[in-house]
Amino acid sequence: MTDVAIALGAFLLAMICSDLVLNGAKIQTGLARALAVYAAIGSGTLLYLQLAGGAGAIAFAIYWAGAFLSWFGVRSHLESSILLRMLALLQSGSKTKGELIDECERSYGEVQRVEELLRAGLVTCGPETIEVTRKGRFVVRAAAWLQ
Amino acid sequence: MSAHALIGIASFVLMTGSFYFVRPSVFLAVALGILALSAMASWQVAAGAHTVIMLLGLALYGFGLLIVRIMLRRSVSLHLLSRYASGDAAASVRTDIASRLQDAEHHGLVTRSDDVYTLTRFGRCIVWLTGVLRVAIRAAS
Repeated sequence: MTDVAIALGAFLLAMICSDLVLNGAKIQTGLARALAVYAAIGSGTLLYLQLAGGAGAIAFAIYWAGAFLSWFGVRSHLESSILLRMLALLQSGSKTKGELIDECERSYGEVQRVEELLRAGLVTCGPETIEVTRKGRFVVRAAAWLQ
Repeated sequence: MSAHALIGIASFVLMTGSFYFVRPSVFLAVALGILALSAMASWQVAAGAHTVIMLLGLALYGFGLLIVRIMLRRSVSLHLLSRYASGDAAASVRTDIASRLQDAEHHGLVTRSDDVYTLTRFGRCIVWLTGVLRVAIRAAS
């Protein structure tokens, strides 16, 4: 089971290195960097396992795809989930609906979200309106297709 | 290509396909079924590290697909982007945010008395767990 330990260790290393590379940026805006880290560590680990006569390439590829997707999903939720933010706010005591929504809007309302969409290259600021880029339209279509 | 690899590829393709074609409410059961069948088949072919790694990968993949689906349906930023793309100028992040409170109540994370919301025990567990994960991420970076 040394190969299992190596695979788990590689996943842990990839999580740590991705966070270092993201350097505080949200996962959606630093996705390419995180993907590069996972690709590099995954390739290195696969090469090592193949040279050492360890676990098969297909088995490891499936594992790595699952590892990345799970990490991406959990990380995104921890960063952006409004529901989790509301629960954290309630830890200090009961609140009214208005108080909770006001607080969430203050910390992560439309202004902050548009800034994030701008940083990710999904929208641009037109003369009078927000305009969605080609990349943004692709994301919208992909999301609709996957739902 | 080995039988083990074929089982892995088939399971991966089945899980990916079921994510798209199967109703969301049924996906978890289908994914668990695929995982169980894959475990039985691959253990007969090659019990050992290969199989453990592959099954771990399939489990993580199924979990990842579930989480991603929740994100795609729930993401306030994605809804905002969709509204901008469709030209809906009356975008309302506030309405989206408000609906999360209904979700929290529906899933037993909070209770409501008149207009006042309070964490349930289950809600406190979730807050604790996410706190631990956030500390781990901060420690790592």
